[in-house]
Amino acid sequence: MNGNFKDIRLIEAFDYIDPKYIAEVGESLKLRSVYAKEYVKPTFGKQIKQIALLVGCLLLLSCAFPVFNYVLEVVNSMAAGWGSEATEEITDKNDILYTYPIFVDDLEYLSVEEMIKINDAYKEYLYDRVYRLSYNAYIYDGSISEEEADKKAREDAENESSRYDHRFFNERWIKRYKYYGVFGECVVLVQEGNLTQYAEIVIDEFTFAYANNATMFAYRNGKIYELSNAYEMGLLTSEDIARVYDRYKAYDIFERK
Amino acid sequence: MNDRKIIELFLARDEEAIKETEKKYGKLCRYIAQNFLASREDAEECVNDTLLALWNSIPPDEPDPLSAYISARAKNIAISKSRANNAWKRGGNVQTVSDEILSMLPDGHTLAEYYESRLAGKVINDFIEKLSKSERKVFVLRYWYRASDRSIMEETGFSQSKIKSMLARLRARLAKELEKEGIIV
Repeated sequence: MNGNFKDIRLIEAFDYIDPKYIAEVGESLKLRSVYAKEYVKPTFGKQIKQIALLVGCLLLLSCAFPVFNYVLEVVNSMAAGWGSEATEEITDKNDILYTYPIFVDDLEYLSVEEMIKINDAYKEYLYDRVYRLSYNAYIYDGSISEEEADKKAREDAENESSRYDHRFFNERWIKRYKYYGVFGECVVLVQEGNLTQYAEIVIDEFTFAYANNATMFAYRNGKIYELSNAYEMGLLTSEDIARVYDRYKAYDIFERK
Repeated sequence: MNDRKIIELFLARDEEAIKETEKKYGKLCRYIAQNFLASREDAEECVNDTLLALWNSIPPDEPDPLSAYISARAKNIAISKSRANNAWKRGGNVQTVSDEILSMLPDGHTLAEYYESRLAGKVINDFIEKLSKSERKVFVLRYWYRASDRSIMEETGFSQSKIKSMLARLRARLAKELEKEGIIV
């Protein structure tokens, strides 16, 4: 009998966990991660193109210094303009246009007030997500309880997240929501992201693919739910998902070929 | 449909039993298969094999609870498939979890010669009995279902760091229990 064999007996011992515990845990699972996979889209060709473009621009600018100065001035003035727009606070709600009006032909859109409410809820959702994904160093501090450690970690995550509010939760950000419609009591939207990686999620046999830093979600009564959660919780029915999928197929550019 | 009715369908050799089992426990089987296998096709094949195994073994078996029986079947089939594919290190969390379990053995220590896995399993069950509901869920998900940190995070709502520290504490407590019972020497 060699040492390895003895070791393996400890691993095997875990197979003798009582079926009542296995059943208890198995029946309590929500199973929302089943078959949700992320795909990485190769970006090598794109990077080469970007580098070539950058080198080309630099050559052009270095050859024509006066033109370069002029371009620099223009770029600076544009950047200043963008900055002021991006940091502008929402003062007059009526100034904001409808959200991305993809169903404008059907006269289906959200009001500005509704969109601002959704944006506020989305902010809360993002804060919560940052907290959940962050490393909680307080948990190793023996002098405070686990609840306090969690509370402190949440505060830290909120403080850190709120530093970037001026860059995100403004008019420009709001216009990047893509609106799919109202299904049951849920408003279904996606916040567009940059198309460098795909996330793919299967809900009730329908496959939705979109940029991985975008989130497809449902809004209901001041709360944001991931689309798959909303379906599993019964907020969206199979028919709703089918209708969302029709619109996704018709309008979404992120569909995988 | 409740478990008793599903078993009755199996006992009556009614093919509806397969449909109902797939409907109720298909997702659970897929979840378990995913923890052991790298590809979706393999996981899907594992679900089908599990359903076939159930059809062949009920009767004579009349399992109670059915969900644990199906989970165990799915896990065994997934393990065999992962070994056959030589994907032990590529798919799922099998290697990570095995390493974690073995880390409970201090350097130069091993299991007592006369102890079999089943006896050590009894101590583990006694240990699980004493855990709180959330600790038990995290522990069983990790060490029986071989779930990843991310998957446990989604199931329990805890943060990743909390799960890691909770598992480390539980392992240390279990190692002490095993040493106290004379299993680790």
